[in-house]
Amino acid sequence: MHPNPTDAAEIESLYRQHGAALLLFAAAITGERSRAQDALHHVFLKLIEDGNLRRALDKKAYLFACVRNAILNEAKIRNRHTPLDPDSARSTSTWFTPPDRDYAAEHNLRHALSILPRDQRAVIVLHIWGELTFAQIADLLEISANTAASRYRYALAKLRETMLPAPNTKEDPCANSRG
Amino acid sequence: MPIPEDKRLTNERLSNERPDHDRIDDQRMDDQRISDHQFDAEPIDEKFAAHLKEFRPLAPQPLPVESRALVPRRWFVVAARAAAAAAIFAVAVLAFRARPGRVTQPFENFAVADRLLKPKSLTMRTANALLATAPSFKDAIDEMAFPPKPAPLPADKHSALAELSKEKTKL
Repeated sequence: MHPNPTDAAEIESLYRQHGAALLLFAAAITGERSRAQDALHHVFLKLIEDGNLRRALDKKAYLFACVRNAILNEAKIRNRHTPLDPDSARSTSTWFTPPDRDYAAEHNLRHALSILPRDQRAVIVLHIWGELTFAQIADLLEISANTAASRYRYALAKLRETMLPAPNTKEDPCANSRG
Repeated sequence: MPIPEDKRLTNERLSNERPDHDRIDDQRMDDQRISDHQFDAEPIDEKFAAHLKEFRPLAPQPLPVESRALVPRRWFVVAARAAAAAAIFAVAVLAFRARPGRVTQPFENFAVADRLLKPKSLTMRTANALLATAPSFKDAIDEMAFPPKPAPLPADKHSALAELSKEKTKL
């Protein structure tokens, strides 16, 4: 079944609108931007071919679910379950456009995300950059909304601890020795 | 470009911006600082979340398909061209027919002239047809030898040969 041009245009519009957040979500699961990109293309090409997006009530949440399922299926096919490699933060491929071109901060954020537990990482990406509500995340990940909110807060706290310097570390380490 | 020191988001700065009652709670319950921080300190969470949102995820590569937005446009262009051609053809036909007598009258004249100037020639086909249709053999032979005269002209028409034959030219 081929979609009519209106459906295809709508799917392409959704790709432009949510593609960046979907790609980040996929990269947060796979740990590899190239695999994430492949999964995203696979999902959207299938949607264009089948044209079954019309049945989805919440199209944005449905797209995130499609991406997640595509990645999980691909992992099953590969018969491997690759955890996100913390060293991936050292790779040259960036995930974000940082504010004020602060690429050191972008590297820190990627590293902080990479060391989060997978469940927390998924929730924080979905809520902050995917802009999904906790109810939508709960449906997507098949957890309760309270669990989603709890994971989000834990993840946020860990990110803050990893990314932002603590008040005592901000002091000059040589200050005591001078005194 | 490094971020200016005053713009850097630090735990210290976030703590200073927290409400007073939160700070008092922090002092009273140091051992529960983390849990309070996580579940009750909503303003800090929102500020840090807003800071994270400043990092914009990179856009994906374009889909490896032809843009569907062009498809309806192409279809529309083809349809518009076909409609324009049909309209031009219809207008031309109507304009051609609208001129009275220009096309039909010459054809009638040609038919009359052809009938006058070209008497039926005797061929095997016409001979066979005459033999088959004539009431008798004699009638068929007579018709072959003396073919019927061409149909007379209408009253308002005149034969050019007849008119010329009437002229008395003196040589």
